[in-house]
Amino acid sequence: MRKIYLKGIKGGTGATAIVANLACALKKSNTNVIVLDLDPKNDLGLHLGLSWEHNTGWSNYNSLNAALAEFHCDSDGVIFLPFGSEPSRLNELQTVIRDCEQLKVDDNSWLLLDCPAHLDLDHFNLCADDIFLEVVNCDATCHSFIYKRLLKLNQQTNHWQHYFLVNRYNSASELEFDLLQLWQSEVPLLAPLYINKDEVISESTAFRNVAVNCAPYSVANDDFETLAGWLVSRATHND
Amino acid sequence: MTKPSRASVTQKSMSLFLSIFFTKKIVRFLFFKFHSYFNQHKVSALAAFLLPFLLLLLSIFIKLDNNNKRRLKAKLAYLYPHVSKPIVTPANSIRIFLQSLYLLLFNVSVKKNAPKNRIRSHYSAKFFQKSARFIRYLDTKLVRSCKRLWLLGSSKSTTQSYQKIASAKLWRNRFLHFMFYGLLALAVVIFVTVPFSLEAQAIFISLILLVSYSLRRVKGQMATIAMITLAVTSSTRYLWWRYTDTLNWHDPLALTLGIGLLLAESYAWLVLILGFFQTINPLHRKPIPLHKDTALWPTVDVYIPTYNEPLNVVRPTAIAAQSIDWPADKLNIYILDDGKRPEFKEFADEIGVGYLDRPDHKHAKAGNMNHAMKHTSGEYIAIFDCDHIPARSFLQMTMGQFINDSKVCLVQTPHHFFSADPFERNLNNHRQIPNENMLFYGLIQDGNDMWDATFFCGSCAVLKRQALEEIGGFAVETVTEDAHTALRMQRAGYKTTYINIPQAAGLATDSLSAHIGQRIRWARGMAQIFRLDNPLLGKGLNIGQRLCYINAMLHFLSGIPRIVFLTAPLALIYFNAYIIYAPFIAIFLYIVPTLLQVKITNSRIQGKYRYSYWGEVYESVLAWYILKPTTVALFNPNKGKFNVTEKGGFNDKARYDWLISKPYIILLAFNVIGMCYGVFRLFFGDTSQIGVLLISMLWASYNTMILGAAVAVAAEAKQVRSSHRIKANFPAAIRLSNGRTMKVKITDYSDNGVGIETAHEHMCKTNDKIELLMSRGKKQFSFPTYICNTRDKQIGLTLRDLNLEKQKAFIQCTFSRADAWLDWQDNFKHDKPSYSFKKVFTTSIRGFNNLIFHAPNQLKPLINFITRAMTQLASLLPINPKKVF
Repeated sequence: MRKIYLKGIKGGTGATAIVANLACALKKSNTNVIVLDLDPKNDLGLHLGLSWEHNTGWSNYNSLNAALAEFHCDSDGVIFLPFGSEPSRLNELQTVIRDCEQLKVDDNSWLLLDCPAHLDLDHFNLCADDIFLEVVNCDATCHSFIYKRLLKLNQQTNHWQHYFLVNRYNSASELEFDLLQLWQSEVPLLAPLYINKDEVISESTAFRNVAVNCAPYSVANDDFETLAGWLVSRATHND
Repeated sequence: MTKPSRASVTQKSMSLFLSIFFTKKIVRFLFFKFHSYFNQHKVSALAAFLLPFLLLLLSIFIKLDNNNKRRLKAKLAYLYPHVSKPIVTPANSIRIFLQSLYLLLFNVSVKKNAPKNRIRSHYSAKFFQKSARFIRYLDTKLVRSCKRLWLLGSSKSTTQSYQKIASAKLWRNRFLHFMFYGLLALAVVIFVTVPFSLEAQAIFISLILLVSYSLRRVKGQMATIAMITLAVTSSTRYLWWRYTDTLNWHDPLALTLGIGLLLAESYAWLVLILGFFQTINPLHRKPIPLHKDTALWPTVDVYIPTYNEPLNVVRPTAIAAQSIDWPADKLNIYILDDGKRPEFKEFADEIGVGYLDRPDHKHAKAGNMNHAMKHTSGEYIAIFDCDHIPARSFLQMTMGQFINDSKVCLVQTPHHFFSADPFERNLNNHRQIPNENMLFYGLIQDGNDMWDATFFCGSCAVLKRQALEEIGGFAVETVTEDAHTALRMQRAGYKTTYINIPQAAGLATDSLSAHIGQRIRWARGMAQIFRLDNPLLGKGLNIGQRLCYINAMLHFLSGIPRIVFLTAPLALIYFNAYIIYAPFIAIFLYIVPTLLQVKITNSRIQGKYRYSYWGEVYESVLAWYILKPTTVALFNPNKGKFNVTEKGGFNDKARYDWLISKPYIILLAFNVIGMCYGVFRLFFGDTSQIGVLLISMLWASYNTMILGAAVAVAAEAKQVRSSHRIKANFPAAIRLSNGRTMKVKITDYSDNGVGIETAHEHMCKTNDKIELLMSRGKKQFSFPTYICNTRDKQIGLTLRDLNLEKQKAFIQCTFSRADAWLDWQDNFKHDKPSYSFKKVFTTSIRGFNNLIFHAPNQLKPLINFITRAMTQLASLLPINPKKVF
């Protein structure tokens, strides 16, 4: 099972929307995709068509085995497990990740983890095969966060693949254009692709769907397909 | 029924008289018919009297009731569709006669109500179809078997043995070497000079023709070389025959004219042979990759000489030059402004390129660049005419040659034009037919490169400063400084190279007169070089280089010979002068097959770069204009000054350039009148001359066609846009004002607009503001644009008020893309002479139409009269009955 962690470098970078869209884009190549919502906001389900009234998730049960009934399947066949309503402790979170790894699925399937922005990297037991994407926006806050993170990463030895993924990039903005250009030349872990700012991503949530399904001719669709393709190449790089 | 109420005495007596012979009913019928003819149809009294009797007589044989009559009428209208309404006119009588003859003689299907029968065409057409199919069948069989034979002959073992022979030690022996060449020359002399009887010539030439005809589609350079050998043999034989057998020594007029034609033919032969030599084995040079470490790369100065071109022409060039992929500290761009314009200096400062001007204008472009050389210091100098926008990969593609070989002093790349040249625009065949330039940059330069004789073309090239300094800078003695400079560097022992990958694109000349002006300059310059620094003489060149240069110069002397060819057949028609003094059958056996063979060979060699017959059209347009300057320059090489080719202009309305087309119109008039006179002579002249007369008229009609096409070029077409649109095909995206994005394909662009195509329906409206997202490498640029028009999935965008930064980005994303001009030569299929002939023919017709359309008002009545007479005459001809539903 190939594991991808997605986390906003700060809150509100649009990480959850990326998770949902990426899951659908990966599902299109006929592999199993399992998405795990680790964020207490419990909003991944909204992107994948779950109704707002649905309130339970893995945090409402003691173990993953007990929560099996909470696995949902969206219209594309993406399997996902919502967070639920109970506040959970760190060790519970780590257990659920570990238990998910034990699920009997084939090696090609994907496990996407939507991590809350406030939890730090140390709390996940990352191993060498994992890919960690930190979602950033092109603004000054993220700029400083990126350098902070780089500093930290340099201090410790990290085995996993860590990348910064630019979201909501708008090349018309002078600041964003300049920042991205700067990062492209200076930031070593910047992913070679970015997600363009696109209204259809937010619009499709209003349709309780994802952009990949709603707007096949949009740039967003292209971006997520490219992202999926790039992740496939990264993952095979691991093998 | 008419019943005479007040019957006159005559009528009564008449009816009494008639009733002796006929029944009462018939008498009444006769009277009824008489009245209707006389009163209603206004037929003369006698005819009105006689016609009823005729009808009566007919009714004995044919039952003429209403039904039958209608059917008969319909049938007649069907068989004689072009007979006009008042039937009894002289014209109609001719029509009826000819149509009856046609219907009788040809097997026209007259069953009108069976659509299947109409598809089954009549006998003669079927015969033609059948024979065409048969010929095609024979052709494919022939070509296929020839291919097989050829492959058999050129299998690996034989090439190895060729190589063994070629590398044998025997060749080191000088004596043997010369012996072999001597034998070869002897064989050629025998082949060429041995006199043949007509039968022998027929067999000989048809064999040669057969071989080269069937070789024409066999792949490989060896087949080309074989075809060239055959063409050289037969054309030389032809010329020998012309010199020895065909001059009429007894008729001084025919002799003078004949010698004139013969000299023109000798010129054509020489150019043909040299052309074969030049292009026998084009070297397709490949770019050489540069060293990985950019610190080792040399410094390059980019010169953009300008004189009077507007800033908006120079701007994209300068910006694109800045975007060339090369270490920034090793790339210096200079605008060499000979016009000393302050706005250019301002612009140069603004974008950060160098600006050089000079106190005088001595020696035009060459002087300008020499002056710049004094103020710059780069090891290499890249030159772009101010309208040639370079691609970012320009230096990457070219510089490797210098690093590879220190003797290389020039790397030339093709001149590609994104706008239509006057020929293409006025004939409306842009991107359909290879243009005039294509032959030179697609084939001849590659051929020259093989002989190490690549010409410098003044732009889109890189030169080595060291070599330039050694010869004292750019040559200033002639008006074509480029060719002369390259010649000098070659004399100094340097090599020139050519890379046939378009790495820059520019504007073609925008009117025929400007185009001709440019060619006049080239022609004059070449003639000057011929006189001042003759490549046949002097040191430092090898024989191949000398021949290539001399061919280039000869090409520009084509004025007189071309005019001779365009008028030669008229000598016989007007003056009855036998300029080719030989029996009809001999002329037929020598000229036609030789011409055919040369055409086939040229079509094979030049097929992708110049279609058959278009060379004649291009030459005919220029012939008159380059005649004088070349002749003058040959006698007095220092006369004449440099004229700047105007570019970036705008034709705001369609017009006809009478001044420039005057020479062709006069030639055309001679030819047309000659044709009419020829027809007259065919009917009323000496019957023994019909053969030669026919050949002359055939030739004259070919000339008429070529001249018609030349005339067509002079009709200057209207230019729709002020900036030229360049066809493209690469992905981009748009972001609408509501924030949604859409993937699009860029279909064309210009310096202030973009055409895009969306993948599915869009909701965009004119004047919407949208963002265009284009990428260059990792960078994405966003351009604010307005929609100027929409059609289905097509959207036209205009860019407005871009700041300098955005302008630069736009040029980097479009004009300076490395792949921007790459599909240039692949657009064209290989030449098909028959197709090309058709194309020239329609162009010619278009020329005649233009001539009539643009004719001055005084001539309008005459033209109207002639057209009416022509249509009237044409309406007399029999036509195929067609059912009208």
